[in-house]
Amino acid sequence: MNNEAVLRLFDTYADDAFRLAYSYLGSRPDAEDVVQDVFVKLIRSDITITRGKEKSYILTMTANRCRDFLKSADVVYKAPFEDAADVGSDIEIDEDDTEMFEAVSELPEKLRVAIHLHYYEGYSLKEIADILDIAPSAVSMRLTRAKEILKKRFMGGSRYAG
Amino acid sequence: MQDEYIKAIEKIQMDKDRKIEMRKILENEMASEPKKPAKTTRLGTGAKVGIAAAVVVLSMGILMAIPTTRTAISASVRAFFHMEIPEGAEDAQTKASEERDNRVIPTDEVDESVQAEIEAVVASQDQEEYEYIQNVTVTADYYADEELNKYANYYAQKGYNLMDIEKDAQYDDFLNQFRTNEWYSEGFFVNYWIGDNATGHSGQIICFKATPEQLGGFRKNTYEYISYERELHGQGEVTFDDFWTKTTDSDGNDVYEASWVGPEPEMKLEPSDCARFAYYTLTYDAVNQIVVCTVEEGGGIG
Repeated sequence: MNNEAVLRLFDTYADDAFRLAYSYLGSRPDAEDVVQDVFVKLIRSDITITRGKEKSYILTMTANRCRDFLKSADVVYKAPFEDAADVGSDIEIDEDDTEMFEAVSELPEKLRVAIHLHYYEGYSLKEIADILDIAPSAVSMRLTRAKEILKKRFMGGSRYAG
Repeated sequence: MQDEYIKAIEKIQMDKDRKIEMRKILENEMASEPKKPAKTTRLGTGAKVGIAAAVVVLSMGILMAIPTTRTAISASVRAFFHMEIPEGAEDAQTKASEERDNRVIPTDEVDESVQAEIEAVVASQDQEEYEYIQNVTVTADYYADEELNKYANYYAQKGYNLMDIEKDAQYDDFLNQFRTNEWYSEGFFVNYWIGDNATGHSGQIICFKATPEQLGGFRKNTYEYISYERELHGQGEVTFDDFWTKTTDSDGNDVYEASWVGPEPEMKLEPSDCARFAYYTLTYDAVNQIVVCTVEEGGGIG
């Protein structure tokens, strides 16, 4: 991939990669570092990406880098909403949106990443499975559990004992 | 839910200055860095789900824990008979399997592509459940510890699937985040369901070997989970000592009890959306270092 193409990908998908990294790490500086690592890696490698697969490829690289980061940091981050919303942004977010975002942010990392990829990025179970390198059934399970937790938080639903 | 999340996350972007700075870093990188050999893309290599739901259901029969007659129930086990599974309860795993078997998927009135997606999701969930049960269920003579096996034998004879705690721990579980204290050396649990789907509730009996320190770990983990529930529902804090009450039974075993009742939900979409509760009764056989704990939880008043 030539350098101009990498820069075009950066301009187009850097924010998407950032949001995914933020879903994983819950830390703005760490998420930014991951995005930088991903695109530097793209530059350093002579990778050819199939046309139409650029975004999912970058998100796959981002997911892999985030997992490596979490392993090396040996820490699980929680995502404080204020960090994401306030730093470098003058955008106000509605209270209702804040509550939902906070709820998603407080999900365990695996669940919130699945929610992000499915509901924000609009990927199918199979596509998410490819990005995260897990079985589609595992994606389905993560989405189901995430929805159970969110439902319980907002509506007081019950959870299966086990 | 989706719209609210999208609206919020869309407003979260990389800091503009940081993005400009990063772009410059990339440009510098391009000017200095020679290309390295190509790497293989991982896209398109996702795992495949290949077992049909019908096969899953047919296979369920072989997964039932097979009771053995190798051990008689000892007097020490009889001391725990108040940990009896409630009258009228049934094994939750078997119930779920039967319901999967009899399930009708309402796909007649939807588009073919949507129908396929629904069926794929259902099949994958069944597959996940099948693999879970296959991997976690053990037989009644599984444990090295004879005393523990007596309990396993007892519940298996009643037709309950024995789920190994260690094997279960390999799977994602909402409760895992609260299990930060070491709490067992080996053991199992059975799941039961009592009542109909609309008003019934679930329960567990957990039997495990534990040192006094591990028993403390279990009690702390349970306290952490209930503290989370209390905070979630805007209830006040309860101290660890107030949460667990300790007594002694007629056999001299320590008995711990704890309970929590959540508020009624503001909105009820399904019959099961009712006030949550959890009742714990734990007996510790200090001689054999075995814990038997019943957990009744769920909601049944909606």
